[in-house]
Amino acid sequence: MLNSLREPESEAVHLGFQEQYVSAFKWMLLARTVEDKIGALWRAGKVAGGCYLGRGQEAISVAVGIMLKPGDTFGPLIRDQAGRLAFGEPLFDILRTYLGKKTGPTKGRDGNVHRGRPRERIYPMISHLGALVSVVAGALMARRMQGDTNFVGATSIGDGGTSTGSFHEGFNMAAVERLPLVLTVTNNQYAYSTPNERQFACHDLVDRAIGYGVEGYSMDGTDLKECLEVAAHAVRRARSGFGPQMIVASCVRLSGHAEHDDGSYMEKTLLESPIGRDCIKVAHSFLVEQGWADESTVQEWRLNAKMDVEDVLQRVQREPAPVPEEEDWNAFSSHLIDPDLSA
Amino acid sequence: MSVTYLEAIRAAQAKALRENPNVYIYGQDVATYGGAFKSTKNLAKDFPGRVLDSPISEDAMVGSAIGASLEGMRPIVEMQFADFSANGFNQIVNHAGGYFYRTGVSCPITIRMPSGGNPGSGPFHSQCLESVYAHFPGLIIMTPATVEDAYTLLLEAIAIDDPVLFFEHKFLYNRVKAEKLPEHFSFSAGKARIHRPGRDLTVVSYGVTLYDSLAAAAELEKEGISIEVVDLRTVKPIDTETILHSVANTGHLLCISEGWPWGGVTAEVVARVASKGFHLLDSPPERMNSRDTPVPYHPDLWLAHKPSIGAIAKKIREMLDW
Amino acid sequence: MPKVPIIMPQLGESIAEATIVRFTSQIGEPVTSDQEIIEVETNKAVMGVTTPCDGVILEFTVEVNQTYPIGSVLGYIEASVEDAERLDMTSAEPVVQPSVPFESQPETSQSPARQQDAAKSAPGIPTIKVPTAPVRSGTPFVSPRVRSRVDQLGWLPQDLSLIPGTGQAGRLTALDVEKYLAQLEELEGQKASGLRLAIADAMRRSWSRPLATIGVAFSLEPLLAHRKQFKSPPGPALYVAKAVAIALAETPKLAARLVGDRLLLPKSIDIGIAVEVDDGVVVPVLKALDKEPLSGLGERYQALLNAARARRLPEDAREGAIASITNYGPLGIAWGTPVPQPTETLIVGLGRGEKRPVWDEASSQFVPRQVAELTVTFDHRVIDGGASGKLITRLVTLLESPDSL
Repeated sequence: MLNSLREPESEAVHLGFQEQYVSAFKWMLLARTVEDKIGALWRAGKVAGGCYLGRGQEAISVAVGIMLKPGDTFGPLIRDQAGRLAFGEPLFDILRTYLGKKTGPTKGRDGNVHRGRPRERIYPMISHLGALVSVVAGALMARRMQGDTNFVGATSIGDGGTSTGSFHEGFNMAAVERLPLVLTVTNNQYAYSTPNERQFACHDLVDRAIGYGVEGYSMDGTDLKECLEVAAHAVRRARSGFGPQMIVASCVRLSGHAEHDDGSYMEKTLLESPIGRDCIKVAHSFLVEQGWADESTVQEWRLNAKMDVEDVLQRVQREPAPVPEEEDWNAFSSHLIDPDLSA
Repeated sequence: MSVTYLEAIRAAQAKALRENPNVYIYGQDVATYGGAFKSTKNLAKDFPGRVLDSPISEDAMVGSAIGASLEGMRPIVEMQFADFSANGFNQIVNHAGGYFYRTGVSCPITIRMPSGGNPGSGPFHSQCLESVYAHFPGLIIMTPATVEDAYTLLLEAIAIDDPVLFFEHKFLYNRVKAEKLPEHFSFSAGKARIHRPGRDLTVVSYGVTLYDSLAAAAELEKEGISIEVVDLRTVKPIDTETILHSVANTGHLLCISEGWPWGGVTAEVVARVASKGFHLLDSPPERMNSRDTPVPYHPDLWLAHKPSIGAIAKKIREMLDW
Repeated sequence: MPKVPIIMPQLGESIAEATIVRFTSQIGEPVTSDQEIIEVETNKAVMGVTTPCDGVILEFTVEVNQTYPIGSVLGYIEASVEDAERLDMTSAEPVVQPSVPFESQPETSQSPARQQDAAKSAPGIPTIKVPTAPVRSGTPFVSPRVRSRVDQLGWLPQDLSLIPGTGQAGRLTALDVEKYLAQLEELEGQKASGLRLAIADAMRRSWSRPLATIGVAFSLEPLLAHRKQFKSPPGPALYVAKAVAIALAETPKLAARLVGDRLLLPKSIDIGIAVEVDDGVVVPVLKALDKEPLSGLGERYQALLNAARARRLPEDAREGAIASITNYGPLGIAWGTPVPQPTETLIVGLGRGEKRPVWDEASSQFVPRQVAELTVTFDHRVIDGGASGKLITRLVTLLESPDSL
């Protein structure tokens, strides 16, 4: 941990940590595998629109996702595939959404990363950054009003997203209400092509935690062990009534902003720095070092992830596309409104 | 014993809070202070923990209401002035408005929008923004003009499973009164009402200009001209059927709004009648709006900025002379 | 000393009225500018009303516990002339407080018309004269509503010309139509027959062309003498029909139809003869009449005539005439300007035979002769005066030497 405001309690490698680590690693592999597949489909012209992948950010994403329990709320952002899977989003959802299938959660009405399952408390993002912070906060307010206890909400944002007014309003409100909200800021050094120095002037984004009056942590987002420890701590603090938690995880985006962007503007030296490591490689080495898995086991996990992705893809590709003639062109859900009048 | 428009809004909120534990009110100064216009007066005391002051964060106010609605709540967000909803625009139009279509899950929030001009209120406390929001899919836009509608439509807004923007007119708060509030009423959102039957020309309006239209109609009655005044009540969905029915009777259409002229509700009404009711028209359909400038501060300028009763009557005479 | 009014101020957004709580200064008391002199209560708060300037309180015009709208005069202060002028109290009017929605507002000085004038004179924007309907009653412009009403009534747009319009520039308003209909309700009538409506339609359509009529008298005597050789002699109309057929066969372009920019020549010299039937006229057609001798025509014509009166005309005799003959002599008519059918370029009319004194060169005296007037009504776009003269002269020549028929 580089710069935490309040040191979390020392996290010994506790009983069950190995299991959690391995499990997180497998989700990371699955996330990377399915995103590589989506990228390939995009390059093959099978995906309409943009293609936004989370390469290099799997560790921090999975760490938060895996700490959430059923009943918690998760508002993932664009590079949260690993966290989505760990929280319980089926592999089907990403493929159906990217391929625009009628069977998907948005039925082809929205695509790529704008998917979710609101009823299962996975909130779909909109493209306007920061907008999800207050939505997750509102859901938590509601739970509290309804007398629920022992719940947290988590949402993510990037270094660029912290510059929006919406982010500020939402996070400030969550702090005012002392909501059990875990906010992860994944600082991957670039907002699309804009580097940190054109985005914010503070030394570290975690400095803002003081301004909001919340607990903050700054850490290496490429180290799964650290990510799991900090996320566990932050989620536990939030759940125990210590108010919003701000985790700033530094890493480097290992691809462009989207698949149409080669990221050629990125400083090459960043990849040589400690936060430029590929979190999956880091975790892989750690597993072998710890003796928790040997190479062949890791290889087997990779193969399993590939087979899982292939299997789901084969099925999803056979599923129907939405049909314009069958589309219900109605943006109102209310049965109280006469549809004849809504045109 | 009489009830004002403002009291009706307060009474509707009290009733909703009383009858539905999922209802809560969130907005700036709504709790102890009772709201900038006193529309939530005493509610925080009567319903502890359910009428909450928010930070000055229109975006987060709406965003949090979206999240709460997904958890089964029925939030009422009070914008202190509709003008400030511009700061929450994104959450309203992109997040709330699109939620059902994108996800299949509805987003039942009510946003109260104190709207419209008062003398001296100036450019940032006077706007009529119903047309702006009506442009976006998925939002229901209510514009009550009467005390009864302020009461019943607000209760309906809270009951509706979609985001509802409730444009309550500030000029009417303490100026219109009713004997009492309706006890029994059936659901009527989306339906316009013939407020004043007439024979010679149809005026379609809503909000404060309904009263200007009625005053012009009363003036013209002395000249033997019989004006039918239709109150839209809900501008989206818009009740095309009732409008066409009225124009079928009169052959002439004038649509009046305090909103700005470019596009908007009046343009929509004229477009619908021109398209679906061309054969009913005996003169070109006309509309009247406020002028295409920010709402001016000085009361004289302000009065000249929006359609006056005299101007409405003059316009009607010209149309019938066509 | 001028009187300056004390005004109920705008006490907050949306506040319409306030109640007088108490007077904190007394009448006759000297007051200074901005001093609180009256306490009022709104539904938001209790507030003080202040004086606009230094002076002495002259009077209060309101009562405690009563409620007054904003802008009301609460009383008066006797003030200096300078203060009164500074406060623009020469007009003794407070800042305008709107009384809408309950009272009518006077038109403000900046009327929409003035704004339009400003737009007109804006540089770079050419002034376009908007065309307006000509100033006459029953102008051709028909509003969508009037048009659909006319359709509903089964009227034709030109039927509206009968109604005087009262709209701008004499435009016919929907109300004008309804008033006219109400007047018609008072008259007795019945629905016109199909035949009547068909004739009306044909006449209206034909009338869309410039039609001209010429006429000349000719001697019937050779024709009448010629008839005597037949057992069942053809009627005079048939003689005229045969003469027209011959003349048009000689010069077919006289029967050409002008459609758009093309003159269309007849394929066959088919001539119609108008026959009066119950409630109208039908026009049986004699096909290729130029090729048929007059001798056989009598019987053929009689058969057609019977069929026409029974409304049983065979298909091929119903239409397609390039010209027709109308013999209105038996109706006692000497001369007329009949209207050709829409498909015909001309119609020839035959008047009643009558004895007229005719100057006889040989005997240098007037002698009685049986004569009739022959008229040709024609589409003046196709036939000029000279051609029409040649045609009628040729017809007279043929009719006065019936052996040539």
